[in-house]
Amino acid sequence: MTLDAAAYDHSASTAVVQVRDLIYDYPTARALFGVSFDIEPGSITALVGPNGAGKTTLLRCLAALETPYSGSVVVDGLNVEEHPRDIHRRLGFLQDFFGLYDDLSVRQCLDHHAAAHGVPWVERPAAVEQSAERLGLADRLDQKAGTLSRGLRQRLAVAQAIIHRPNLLLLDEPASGLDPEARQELSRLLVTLRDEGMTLIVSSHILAELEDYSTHMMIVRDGRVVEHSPLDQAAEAAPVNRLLAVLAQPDPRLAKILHGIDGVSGVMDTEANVGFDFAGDAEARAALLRQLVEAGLPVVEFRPVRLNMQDVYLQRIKNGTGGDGAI
Amino acid sequence: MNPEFRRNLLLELTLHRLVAMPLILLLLYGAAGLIDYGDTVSGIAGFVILILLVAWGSRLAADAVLGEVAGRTWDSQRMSALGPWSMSWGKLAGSTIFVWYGAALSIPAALYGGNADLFELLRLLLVGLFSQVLALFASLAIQRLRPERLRFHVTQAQIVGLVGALILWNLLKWDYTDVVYWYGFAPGNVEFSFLSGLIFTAWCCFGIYRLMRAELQFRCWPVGWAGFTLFCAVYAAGFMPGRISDFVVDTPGGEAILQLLMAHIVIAGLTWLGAFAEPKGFVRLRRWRDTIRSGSPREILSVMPSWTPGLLMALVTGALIVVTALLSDGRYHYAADKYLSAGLGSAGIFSAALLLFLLRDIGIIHFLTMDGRAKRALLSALVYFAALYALLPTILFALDLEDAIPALVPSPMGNSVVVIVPVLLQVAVVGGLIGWRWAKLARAMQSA
Repeated sequence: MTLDAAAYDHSASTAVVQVRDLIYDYPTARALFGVSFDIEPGSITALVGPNGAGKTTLLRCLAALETPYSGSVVVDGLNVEEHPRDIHRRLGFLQDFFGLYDDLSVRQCLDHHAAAHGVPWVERPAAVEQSAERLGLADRLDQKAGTLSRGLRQRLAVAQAIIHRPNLLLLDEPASGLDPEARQELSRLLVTLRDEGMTLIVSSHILAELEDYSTHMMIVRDGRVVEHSPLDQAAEAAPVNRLLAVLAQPDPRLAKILHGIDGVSGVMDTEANVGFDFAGDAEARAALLRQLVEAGLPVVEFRPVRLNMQDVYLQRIKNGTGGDGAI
Repeated sequence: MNPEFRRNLLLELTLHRLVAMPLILLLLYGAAGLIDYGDTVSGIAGFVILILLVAWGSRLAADAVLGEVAGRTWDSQRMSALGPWSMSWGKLAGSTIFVWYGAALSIPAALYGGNADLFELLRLLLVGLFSQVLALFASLAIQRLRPERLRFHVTQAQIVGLVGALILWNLLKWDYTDVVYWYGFAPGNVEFSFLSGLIFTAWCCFGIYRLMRAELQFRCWPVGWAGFTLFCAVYAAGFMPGRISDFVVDTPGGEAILQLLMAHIVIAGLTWLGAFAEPKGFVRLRRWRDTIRSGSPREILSVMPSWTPGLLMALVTGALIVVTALLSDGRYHYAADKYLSAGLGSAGIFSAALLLFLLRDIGIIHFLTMDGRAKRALLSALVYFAALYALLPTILFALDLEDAIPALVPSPMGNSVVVIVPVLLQVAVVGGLIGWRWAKLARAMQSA
């Protein structure tokens, strides 16, 4: 479905973010090609794509940091170009490359961010304590930001981004620099924030982590949204199915036969247990099973395997175009 | 309290600094007092205030935004909920609070002794404030112009602040007994120049506010620069005919033409400066074209280049000059000054030529900056302008081809063919070059 920016009635939608026909041009190249999508409230959208696909530009347009060439971005019912300050009150953004005020303490950094985002002064001390607590910085409140390790700086940046309890939180590589334990804590925090009603868009290259907490996946490739759907639907709608064939006893012929069949790829062979990708509908799958049985292979199990986010992503990227770029 | 001002207070007014500044000043003035009681202390205090407010203060103001850009905190500031005015004064007052603290501590010392001059102190404070305001304004303009290149930006902005301070310092140094002739009034020089300084400082503050609005992603109509241009035109025209009033006082329309010419020149100059200093490029031009085709007047105004109102104003003043010249029947016969006589006689041609040169220069600036890949495009433009306005005329002069100089420099001398036709051809050539580059970039964008 393609939506026209001028004709579309933004007020009729319940989406937290509504993007229509968004075009962004750099001086010598187009970065975003008429991107349109909605982000539902209370969702965590994993924004994925190759380097240079336009993810950061898209996030910056959503955050009212860049002016697009054309199209519209509406956050919480407010047009970003018309109400940039109101948007910033409702939005938190952690950039991939960020800076901190090194000479201020953690408490002062958080307090400044709360004040700059309109948190009333009576609520600020509690907001500082809570943000620091959530990011494991409670015992470092009086430490200068410049003396923090890279991981702790990342945590402070996340704490700053959420201190004013934004409705929409944009995170660009939030786990960068965090150790495994901190990453797990961050994942839990993002889920908690979502449960509290926040909507999140997270851009990251670590797909396994995104899968832990994301509800939706948006794939951006060459400045276009090639996939945007709930994670389970994305797996089901994948153009290629991952199938698992299990034999009663190991048989080296299985892999050989599979390699010779059209539509089969990505064969992972353990002789008795072979996983592979197959581009075909249910009838084609039945024909494939028949072919294996007729070849004398002792097939005891033949079933589709649920694709994970990385599988879906790689398939979409390999196949080039995906959907129509909109949901 | 303004969060930005408060953040700066935390950074600038540390306990160590609060204690160190008065101690050092006490030692300095104490030593001066021991050497020579009275005037020396006052003189040194004045010098300290000047150094603190102008030299150091302009540096701090220039670094207020650019330091954040370098430290990657500027985007986070842009994403705060602070409005442009809060951000502007928070940065200006906050970043320079320490030098104002030092200056405030020095005021008693500056007023100490027999020759203490309150106006001299006010002059110091105004020049200091102006240098800081101008440095912050320049830093924002530079940041918007070349956000990708950070080298020497702070120094460049500070130099602008220092040059502005030097000019204002000299303007404010006029003789107490002298008067200014301005639109028939004759106010005292000191009062007039001080008030002018205050007004230009206020305009600079307004400029900071406008640039901050743009940085914070507010829609910006080009009214700020247009308003300043109009103010400067009216302000400068008031000084005409000034000292040459004796020559034109009996000439019908002579005074009006001189005032309009002054306004026309000021408008052309500031429009040129606006075109040079604002962000440019193919994307911006194309967006402007597209909004003209399909957008609302509001959208058109929000992407309109700042030079367009200036160009319109120059067109209006040029037309007024032509009409006034025609109405006054071209009766200019001043034996005392043949150049002035000739200049007034061809004021219409001169104003048209100036307009065309302005158009050509704006075209050259856009031609060189359209391609975003071009490095140092603005520096190239300056080199070309230096060649066109200085080098080539000098060569023509050396070759005894003075009559051809109006083809390269707007001149009140010469006939309309020599003055208008060459610059008209240059405008056509530059227009053709822009069209060629536009088509090339449009093709590249489509194939990207």
